[in-house]
Amino acid sequence: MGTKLIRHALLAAGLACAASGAFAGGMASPSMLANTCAGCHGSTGNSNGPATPGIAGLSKGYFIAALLSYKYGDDEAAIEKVVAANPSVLDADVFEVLPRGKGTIMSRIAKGFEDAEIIAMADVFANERFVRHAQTTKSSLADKGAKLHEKHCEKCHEDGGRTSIDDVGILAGQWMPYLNNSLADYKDGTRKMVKKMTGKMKKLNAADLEALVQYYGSQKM
Amino acid sequence: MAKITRRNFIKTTGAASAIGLAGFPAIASAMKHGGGKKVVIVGGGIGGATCARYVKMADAGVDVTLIEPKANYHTCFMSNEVLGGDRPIDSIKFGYDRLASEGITVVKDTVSAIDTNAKKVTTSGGKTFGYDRCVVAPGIDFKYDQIEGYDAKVANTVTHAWQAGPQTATLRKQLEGMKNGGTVVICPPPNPFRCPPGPYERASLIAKYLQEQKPKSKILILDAKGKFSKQGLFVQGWKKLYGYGTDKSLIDWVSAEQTDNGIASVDAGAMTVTTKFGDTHKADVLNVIPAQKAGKIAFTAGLTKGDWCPVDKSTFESTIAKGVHVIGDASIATKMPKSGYSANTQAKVCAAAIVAMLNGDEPGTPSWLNTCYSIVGKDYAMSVAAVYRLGKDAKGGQLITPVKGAGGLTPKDASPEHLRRELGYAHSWFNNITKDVFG
Ligand SMILES: Cc1cc2nc3c(=O)[nH]c(=O)nc-3n(C[C@H](O)[C@H](O)[C@H](O)COP(=O)(O)OP(=O)(O)OC[C@H]3O[C@@H](n4cnc5c(N)ncnc54)[C@H](O)[C@@H]3O)c2cc1C
Ligand code: HEC
Repeated sequence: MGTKLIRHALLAAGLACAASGAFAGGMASPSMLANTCAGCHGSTGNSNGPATPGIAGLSKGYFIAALLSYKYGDDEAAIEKVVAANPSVLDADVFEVLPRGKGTIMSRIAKGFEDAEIIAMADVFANERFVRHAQTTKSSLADKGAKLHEKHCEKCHEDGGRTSIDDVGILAGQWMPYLNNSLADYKDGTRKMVKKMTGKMKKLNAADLEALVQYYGSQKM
Repeated sequence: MAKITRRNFIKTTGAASAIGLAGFPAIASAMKHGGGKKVVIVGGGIGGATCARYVKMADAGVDVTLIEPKANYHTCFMSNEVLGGDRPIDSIKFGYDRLASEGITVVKDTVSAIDTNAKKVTTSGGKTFGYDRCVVAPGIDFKYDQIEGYDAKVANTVTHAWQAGPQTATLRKQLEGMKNGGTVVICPPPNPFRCPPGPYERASLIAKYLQEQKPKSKILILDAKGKFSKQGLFVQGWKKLYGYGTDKSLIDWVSAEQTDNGIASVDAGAMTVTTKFGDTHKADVLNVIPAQKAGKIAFTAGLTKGDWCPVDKSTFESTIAKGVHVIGDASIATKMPKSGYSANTQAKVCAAAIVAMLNGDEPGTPSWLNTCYSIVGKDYAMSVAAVYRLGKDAKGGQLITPVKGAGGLTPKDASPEHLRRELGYAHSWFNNITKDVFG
């Protein structure tokens, strides 16, 4: 009995709003929700590729922004409402949701989750470690990419693109077809970039971008 | 002046303290104490293997036994790519070594009886296993009595290939051996059945193969239904890729109206099939997918009502026998299609409920998801998705129901690039779900 009480106390302290088993009928637990993503994004959010990204280790802010973007599209008012309703979680002064295009599989799925559920899942994935899989890359291109990254991208995508700190996506070890899709979406305007990234991207040609993707794909640790 | 705009969307004070606790079940495992309790799982397919792993992950103290007769499981998903010659059959083959290494006892045997009063499972190998909770995940069985001249033995040559494995290989060989100009006849089953878009994906991938290798050939679909899953998108794809609707079409679909609801008989010797309407068709390769029901053990154990197993939707505990849960194709999961992804998320709901119950807790609120990808041709795939929650039907009964306004199909005006990406997502889905199921 003793251990059980402690377990409940821990859960209550940790997950104020996320209903644990004890509150059947309330919100599903964060892991119950997050486990349903595994079919496409891999167990614990670590994708085995080739095209669906790993989502383990994404920062909570990046995860929430991405899901809200898929869920609400360009309905800014709806997104502002979410921010206003969650003052203890989201920082209204900086929170920003960039358009990610319509009709993708994620825009269909994200609409199936309540805002509070999205926030709860963000915690689960932020606490997982991103696993980098071996991908085939050309070292000459990757070396070129490393230099380009250092010059143009490192400021925001720190540690060679390994972290999601500052609410950017994880680039190092991310699946290359996914990175190519993301870059193509930026290029044709389907997906919007933060202003300063747009400036950097303008300086790069297709070969540069290929080298960058090769660099990210070459990082295994 | 800051060097760069920092985003840091998340407030780090106050309510952000959930960090470190909101993990996957593995993280919570140390806190659980279902020690010594026994869970016996019947069937190591998609539902059963997922459930075994997720019970073990959520509570390492539970003694989990998985009973499955086959040393290797072949997934039905991507078996249509095997038929089309796009992947080797070994790429859809999975074993149970990982489950065993995770502390799950894997027994190679067939369950012959479940005594739900004495809480005991018996195998044809003569072993018995006591349980606190039993999970039954036997998949499907076929209603052979509904097609004259067709039975389990005939199915070794006139395949259904609706349980992947040897029959998948046989059907592929038959397609390889067929002359250019031959006719492939596919007979899809009536509803409800495993993988509603499956027969049409099969037709698509066989068409792709024929177009590349035997372009004078034809596929004839003799359907038991008047409409089928993702029909609009399939027809759109077939028009684009295989000349559907023209007299050069690689695929002809004959609806229930014309067959009078399917086929009546098969003559395996003559390689002919006769519809209920009375038309007889000659085939060079014949693929007959019979009507379906829950796997045999579900009937033996008395868990069925009609063809399938009624369950409490939040725990998948049988409404007929306490202590026994039924998941996957064999269960009645109301609005969820009988699919691998459905079985996978049902197994997780069931595993969480079992661990809660063994620990003396109330089961939590469930959530499910399903996405079915269908491959239509080269660089061409599409999907249907839904998030499911527990709702109520008109009479107040439990209903697993899709969240309104969410999910749905690939848009009809999707660009070629979009369809190409969906193929990449389909393959990613395969890689990820098989790892989630078999480790
Ligand atoms: C051609 C085709 C394509 C498909 N494509 C997709 C797809 O793209 N996406 C998708 O989500 N789904 C797809 N499916 C559906 C999917 O394969 C099934 O829905 C899924 O396998 C159901 O899982 P299950 O655990 O209920 O049954 P199964 O996976 O069939 O597992 C049942 C297991 O139980 C074992 N068993 C049976 N009786 C006993 C017994 N008495 N004792 C011990 N063991 C026993 C069997 O040997 C088997 O291994 C497809 C199906 C087909 C036929
Ligand atoms: C000013 C900061 C900044 C700079 C400089 C920058 N980025 Fe970004 N990048 C971001 C942010 C912020 C996001 C997340 C955007 C969002 O929320 O969708 C992002 C996202 C991305 C993504 C998408 C990740 C995903 O998960 O889909 C890619 C790819 C990317 N950046 C590549 C680059 C490359 C390559 C460079 C250098 C040429 C670069 N970025 C420079 C801020 C920056």
